[in-house]
Amino acid sequence: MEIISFLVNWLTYFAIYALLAITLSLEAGISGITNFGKVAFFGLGAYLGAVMNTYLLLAISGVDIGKAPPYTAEGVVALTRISASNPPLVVGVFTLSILVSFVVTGIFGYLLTYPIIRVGAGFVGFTLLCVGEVLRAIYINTGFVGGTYGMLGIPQPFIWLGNPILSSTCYLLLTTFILALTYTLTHRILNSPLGRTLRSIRDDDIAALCLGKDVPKIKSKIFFLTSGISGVAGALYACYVSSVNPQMFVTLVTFNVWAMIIIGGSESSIGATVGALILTLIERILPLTASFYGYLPFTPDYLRPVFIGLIMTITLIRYPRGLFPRKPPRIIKTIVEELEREAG
Amino acid sequence: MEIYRVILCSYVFSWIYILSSLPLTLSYRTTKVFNFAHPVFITYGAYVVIIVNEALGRRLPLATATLLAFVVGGLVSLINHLLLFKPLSYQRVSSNVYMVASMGLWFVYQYILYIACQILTRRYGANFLSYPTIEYEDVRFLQEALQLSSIPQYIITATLIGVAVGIALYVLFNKTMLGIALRGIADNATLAAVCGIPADRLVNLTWFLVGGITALSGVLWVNFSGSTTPDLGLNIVVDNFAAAFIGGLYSLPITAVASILLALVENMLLAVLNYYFGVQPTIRLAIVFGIVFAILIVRPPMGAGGGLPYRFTKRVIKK
Repeated sequence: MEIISFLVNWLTYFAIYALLAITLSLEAGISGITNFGKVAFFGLGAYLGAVMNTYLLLAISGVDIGKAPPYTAEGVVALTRISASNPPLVVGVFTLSILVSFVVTGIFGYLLTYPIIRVGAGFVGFTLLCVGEVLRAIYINTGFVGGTYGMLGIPQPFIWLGNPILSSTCYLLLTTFILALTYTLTHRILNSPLGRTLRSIRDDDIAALCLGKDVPKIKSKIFFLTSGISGVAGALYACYVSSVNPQMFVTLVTFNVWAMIIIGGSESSIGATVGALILTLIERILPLTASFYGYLPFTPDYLRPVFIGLIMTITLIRYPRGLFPRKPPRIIKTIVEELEREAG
Repeated sequence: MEIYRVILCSYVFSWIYILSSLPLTLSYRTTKVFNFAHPVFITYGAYVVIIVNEALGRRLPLATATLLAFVVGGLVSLINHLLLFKPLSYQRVSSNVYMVASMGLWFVYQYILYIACQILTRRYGANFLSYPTIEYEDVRFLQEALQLSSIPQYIITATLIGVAVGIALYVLFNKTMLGIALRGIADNATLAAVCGIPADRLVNLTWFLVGGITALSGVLWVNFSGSTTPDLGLNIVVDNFAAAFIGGLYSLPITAVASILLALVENMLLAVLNYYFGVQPTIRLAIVFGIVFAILIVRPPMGAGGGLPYRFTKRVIKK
């Protein structure tokens, strides 16, 4: 039973992080947008999901939000009661929260492209990194979302099933379905004329511009899509862990997602997915081994970023294209073979 | 009295930003590496001073602190280059890969410092995770000798280090062959190498100088702040990058002016907002970001930052 619980937990985390990794691969590996603010969109989606699944749920159920806001004990008790007794309402609000997270985070990403597409890669990375930190400062200073303590008691949409393993498994199936949709969509984009245009922009945006491609517009569209999906991942995460607080959305999250695509391969969806699978497994296994290094004179959690950072830098030096790099299209392979044959 | 305090803060922050932003610009224009691990040098500079201060029984002279921080910061930076950036340059990877690699380094250094601080705190009793202000022995002696006791020590320290570094950089880049060679590499590394300039060795020297000078802002910080934590670099990373960003990652004078203006606007605005509206200091980040965002929209920096293609497109589309 514990193994099943572990697997469900790990695979749910994997599905959520794989959504982030695949979208980052599309942004950074394919389109050349160095997004060092991934956590900004993830966090915004999570907070939107949290607000919708608490405030809206309480408001529709007739609870006085002024007397029992969701970040208080009274609010959490009311939410637990409602989520156990009214399944259609919980599922309905959850579905709406996913849609709202996609649209709002997508629009936020789209608007951000207006200033960032004007500057080079280094500035884009820095600006987006700042956006993540500024949003975190806003969460800390906003009482409406619980300030430093954040929000608790965000209902999981299948909690009314009663059995924790069953409800978690249903949630896993849902996240896996969204992951499959995202993977298919990304795969189709990569193998379409748009995918080739994106790669040309990544390799040389001035050349793409001279060939008549509307580089800013294409980048904006892609950023809308990837930001929206990151927001969905955030909403899924908030409902899975049932809480949000500003400390969950630090730059380290962005770093983890970057590590996933670096290890797996930033130019392919399969690489990003495998990277997410490996790193989420390490992240899930490390707490289980805590008893082995309990004698250490420091917090063992600090070893994880050191370990991941080292793997990431070594992978970059040894395999700059990742462990699962994108294979060149068959036509290019044939041309190269023919040229080699001609050259003798 | 409040205005006096704000002006003093702005003065010290100006020097801290100048000492950390100038090397960032210098490293980018010479090596084309946008180093996200740059703020680590500030933190390591500060912690070298803290550790030596404890080792010397809290009687540390500024001269020793400056020298040690400069050497350690420089060595960390040089090691980064030799072990990571140089091997990557052999593979002719894109600039994005350098950025990602430096981000990896940032977290490795950051958490190694956390581990070291926890071990030191347990071993020696002093709180290395939040260390109080350090008073420099020789500066105190200077204050007494010149009857400057009414001036806070951090003002004298900032002036001494800042002016010394400023003069040294001016002489290096304008009056020596070495500086001219460094400028040559920044303008065109291949051409410089063809002219017989040992580009490889000078790039090594640049990284050493970058790490060393940045670490000096840590020496200032521990003399000014009441609490130095391992998050020091992370806390001023935005200001640091913003100043370099306004200078287009190319111009050293514009970066220096941007650092001063940023420190002044940030501290003044924060004091006004706090006094009249009770806004908390945590909003500091949003103020800096607001400035950067306004610059991005009104006048995107050119220099190494790019931006030309999109302006060009706009004009073409309008026609």
